[in-house]
Amino acid sequence: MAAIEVENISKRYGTVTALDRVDFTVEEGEVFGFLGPNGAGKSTMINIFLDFVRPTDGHVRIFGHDCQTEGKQARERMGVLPEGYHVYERLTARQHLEFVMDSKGVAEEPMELLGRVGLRDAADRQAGGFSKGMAQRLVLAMALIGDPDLIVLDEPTTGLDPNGAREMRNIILQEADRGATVFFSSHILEQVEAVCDRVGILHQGELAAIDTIEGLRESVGGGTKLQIQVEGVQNGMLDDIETLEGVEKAWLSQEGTQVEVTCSNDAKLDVVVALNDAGVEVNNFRTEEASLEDMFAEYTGGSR
Amino acid sequence: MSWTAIARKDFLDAARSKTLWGLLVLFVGYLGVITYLSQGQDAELLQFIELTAAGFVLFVPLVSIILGYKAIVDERESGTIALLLSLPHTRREMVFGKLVGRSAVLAIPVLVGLLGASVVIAVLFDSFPVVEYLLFALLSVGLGVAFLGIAIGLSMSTTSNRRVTTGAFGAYVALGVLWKNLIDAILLLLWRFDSEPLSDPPEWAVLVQLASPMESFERVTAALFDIDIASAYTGAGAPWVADAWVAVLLLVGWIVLPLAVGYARFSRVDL
Repeated sequence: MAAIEVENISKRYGTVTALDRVDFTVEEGEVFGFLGPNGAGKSTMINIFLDFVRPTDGHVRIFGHDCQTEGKQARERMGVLPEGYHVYERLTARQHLEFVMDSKGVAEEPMELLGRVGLRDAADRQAGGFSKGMAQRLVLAMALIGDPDLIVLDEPTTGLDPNGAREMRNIILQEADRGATVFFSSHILEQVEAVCDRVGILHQGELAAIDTIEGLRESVGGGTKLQIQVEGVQNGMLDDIETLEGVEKAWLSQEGTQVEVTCSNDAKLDVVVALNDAGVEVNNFRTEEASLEDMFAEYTGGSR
Repeated sequence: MSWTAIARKDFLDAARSKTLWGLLVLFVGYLGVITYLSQGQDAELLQFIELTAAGFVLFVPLVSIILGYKAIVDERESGTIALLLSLPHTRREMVFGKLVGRSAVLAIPVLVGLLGASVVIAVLFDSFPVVEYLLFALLSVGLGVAFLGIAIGLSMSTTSNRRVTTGAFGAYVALGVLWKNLIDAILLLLWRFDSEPLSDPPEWAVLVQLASPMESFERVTAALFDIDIASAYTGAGAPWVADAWVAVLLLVGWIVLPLAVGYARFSRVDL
């Protein structure tokens, strides 16, 4: 059985379309990255999983339970770090965990969980005094209670320092090793790149791409990006470049002084030669392996 | 039982905020003063009950409004609801848990106060009607829960904190202070300023007047201890709608109806 089945989900607010016929499946045991710029509709989708938001069309099933009609059964198997939450100011970290255990009908050792997220020292402090990062760690600990089959994390590294982000990544990997399915959203690529088996890219409410990291990288081109320092580049030239064999995409950056091209390894020289032939002065160039960053920019129209 | 987790958390939250302790001081203090006052003269149990009821009818509803009106709207405004409802709780369980948790915050000070007073009563007075006294305690909590129903119902119906506040305290003033005047004004208008129905109101007007939880509370208290507080209810010519059981039903209605209306809205909205 699939962990998450999203079937043709649309959500409209009046004339604004937040999600447009989104359709995908996350298999059990996968680590799935849900990527997109802010405002792409990622949180709306997760809020539909949680039944905070009701879709205009379509269904989502989590382990076969419809999120709207059987939300409780769906959430029984989930651990969640939602967006836009706020902790209970007067309850301590420990009491937060006890509330979750109470709610899920499980008993675990609070100190062990707090140790795992690095909050051991704050166990008996009221959460009202927590920094954003501490609150984030606390809610992560809450999401881990009861070894849920599906862990949903909405922008989990918000408010965390680089160290905290790395710990978050390790926890995601540990949970995946345990056999849990992990679904997490982010607008930062590196995080997704580092841990995900598969990635879905959401752009303006539509699923722009869904594939493995390798698959996406291949679709971008042979894995090379050229950065060419130029003078005198004209409009239209880049279109000509894109017609070259092996070239995926060419665009201008840095106020017209740099051309960036994603292409296969073999096409690199052809690009430089073609630019030279077109009368462009090539001052310098360097190559790098195409990162997801570029791919992301490409799928989302560079609007980051 | 999912709602028990919410009720427990809510109760804990209130205990942490010192609300519970403040209320304990308030109720125990008030009842202490009354028992002290009642002992001086020819000790009369009725006098004690009358004074207690007169105080309760004013501040039990007020305390309930304060306890209840932020129950849902605050969780929505602050975002704690995102944590609560991402757990396996339905929205209905959330509301029920809140009602139970806050009822406990109200009931404990009321009951502790009355229990303390009962010890003094048992010593001071010759007879102590235990059953009636227990029913009166239950009735006092019932009055509070009715206003919790109103407050939580309002709390569910909108995300505007200001509107909930206005509605909740407005309800308190309308039902408590202005109710009789409102009905009199309506009667006067309907009868074109003939004052005769004011002294001999039609049955429906008696029923509407009784429909205020405060009036219901007083009516049942009167029935329990044979106090003659409102002749319109207990006089010889009182209509059947003024029966104490009608008052009990009306009180229960206040617990259920506002919650049902508020929930109908809350259950459908996007959070």
